[in-house]
Amino acid sequence: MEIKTTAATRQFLVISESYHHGWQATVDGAPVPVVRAYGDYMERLTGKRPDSDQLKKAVLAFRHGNPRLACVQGRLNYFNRNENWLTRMFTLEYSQWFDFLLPGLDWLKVPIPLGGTSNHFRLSALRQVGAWDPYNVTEDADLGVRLAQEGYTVGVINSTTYEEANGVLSSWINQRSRWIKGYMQTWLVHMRHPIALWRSIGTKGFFAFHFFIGAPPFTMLLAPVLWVITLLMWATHAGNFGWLFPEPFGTMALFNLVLGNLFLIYFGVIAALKRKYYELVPVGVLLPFYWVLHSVAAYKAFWQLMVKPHYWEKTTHGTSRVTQEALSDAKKEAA
Amino acid sequence: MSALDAGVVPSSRPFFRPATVITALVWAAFLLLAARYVVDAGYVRKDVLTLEAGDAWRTGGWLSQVVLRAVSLIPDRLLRQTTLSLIAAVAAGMIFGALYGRLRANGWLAVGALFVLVAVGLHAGTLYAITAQSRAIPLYIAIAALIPSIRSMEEVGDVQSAIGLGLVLPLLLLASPITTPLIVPVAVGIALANPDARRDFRAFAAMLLVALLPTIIVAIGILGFLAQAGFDLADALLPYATAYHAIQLSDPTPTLLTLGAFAPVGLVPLIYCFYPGLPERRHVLSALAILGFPLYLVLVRSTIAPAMTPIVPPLALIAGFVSWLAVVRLPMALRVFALVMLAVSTIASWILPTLWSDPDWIAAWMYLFPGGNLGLRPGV
Repeated sequence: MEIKTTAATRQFLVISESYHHGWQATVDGAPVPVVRAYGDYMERLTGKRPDSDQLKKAVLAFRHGNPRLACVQGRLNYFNRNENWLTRMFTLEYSQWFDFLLPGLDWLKVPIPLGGTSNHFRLSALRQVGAWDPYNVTEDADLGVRLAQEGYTVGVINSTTYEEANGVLSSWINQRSRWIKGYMQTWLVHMRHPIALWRSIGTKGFFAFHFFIGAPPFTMLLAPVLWVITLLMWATHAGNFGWLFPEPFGTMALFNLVLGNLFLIYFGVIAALKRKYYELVPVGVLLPFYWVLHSVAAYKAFWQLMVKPHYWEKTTHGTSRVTQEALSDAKKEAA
Repeated sequence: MSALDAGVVPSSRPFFRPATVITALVWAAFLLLAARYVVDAGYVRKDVLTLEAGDAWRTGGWLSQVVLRAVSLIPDRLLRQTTLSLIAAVAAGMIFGALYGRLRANGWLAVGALFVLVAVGLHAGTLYAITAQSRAIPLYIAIAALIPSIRSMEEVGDVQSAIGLGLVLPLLLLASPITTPLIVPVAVGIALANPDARRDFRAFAAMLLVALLPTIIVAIGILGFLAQAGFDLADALLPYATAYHAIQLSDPTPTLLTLGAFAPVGLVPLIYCFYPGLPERRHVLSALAILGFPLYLVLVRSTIAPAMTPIVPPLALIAGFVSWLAVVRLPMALRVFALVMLAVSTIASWILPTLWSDPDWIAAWMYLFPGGNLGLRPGV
């Protein structure tokens, strides 16, 4: 295998997470040494824009935190949030997930499904748990659970990495279907031995595992069925589906549909507000339409789980206008 | 707490301190005994009489309506009285426990905190709310929750504090139709408190939406459940129309007098606004809000709600005041003055009963004293 790259200035080519003693490197045809990196920590920052203080905060967290702290997760957000409706919704979702939900899971001390980037690891812990599962398409979420099983904790630091929001619908569906499929895989893999899982992460962690990893794909699959039944009931005014919702379940279903969705909208918009993304607050009321897309992706994920379980749906990066402008500027500067 | 804080904050505080729980239990038991005593004296709760009088209990105060509707299903009058008293006493006990915990957390000595609880618990208005007419309890809770939230906005002023105040606003909707009009002005105030919102309309709209959204969610929830339960929505909204259809200005002086006589504690936040050398940065708005809400109730009583018990505005003031005591840092002299004023409020509420009307309830308490009115006791 050969990797070639060009750079206008003196730079390093970094190959993370793997090493072979037979590697050779050349710069403009002249041999140069391959430098192997050693250290106590490992950062996973793949092609994103982290806050400049993030590495310092991560190291401080390890130094001052619990000795069992194996990983700290930075917050993720998007630099191209105002590009189109999809990027706006994606930003609302990420703000809610990384600014509210993950710190909440951190506070509860339950397994945290890691995000795909801004992960800072204590290398010894990462090695002990066997690092990432190459067969899982959300290998970071799976790693979060395995760290918890080994008695390690995962923390969240208040430092943000900005990345490119996927603003192309087909690409978004592909990316999301991979994430959902990965959550399904993670749930299925760990539920092969449910009692062992329960013993290793405790009752609280066990419930959190189901709520935050198992339940989301399931609800995304179930939601369209319930939406269709509800629409049919309202459109036809027929009580033919009443047997599905005997009281008090009918009232509980109404509560979930109306108030549940409204509360989720509320949590989404306050997350945006806390980041001063004022322009995203009014459009937050459109979040339920965004959740319809999740269900579309969930069905694709479910299908792929059966026919292509380990297939990696690649995300098309660089489609953002902001990214293209930045690349163009970089090229001009290099020229 | 983020991982970064883990090494800085050594341990988490317990959610409930034993003293808080004990205080709550003791006060719930005491208030329940007081309610039982009044019932034994032959007094019939105003709530129960309202329930028996037809639809008058449908006041639009959603929290109290739900409780009254549930209690109306109980066939026996005595059991209804006991149930209502039990609910009120338990709710008040929990509030007292929380108040004690917050006062202690704010640096009050146990003696001072207990004195506050005793003064408030023995106030005639408090005992009336627990043992005779509990409809206004949600209103007191709403005001008691608003004051620290307003202060938090003044003190911190970040988006989180604005969100916190917005989350309290649904209590005004749930408390009564007369407090519902306060929601929009407070929400606008929340929005305008944000410096970005004063410069940028988008920020203003966002802040306003976030302030109002919890109330909108609760309102939609109420309407949804009414529709699901088969209630006519027009009937449900009738109390709002009834409350505002006959506005007539009457003399507010008697209500103001009652407010001044039964809640002289209002002087403390006023003095706080000018007191030199405070051990904290002065937060005037929340201090004035303690007086503002009761004065609004005085106005309401003089215009649209003449049936409101005159003791409601003073008790609202006391609720806001003690809630403020749990968050404000007062110099010792003002703390002592606050305790004296609380004691004066309580004593005045018993020695000036002519300022408010329920002679039967006052008479029921007279059993405590030799030569009291025994005529009310059944069989005497």
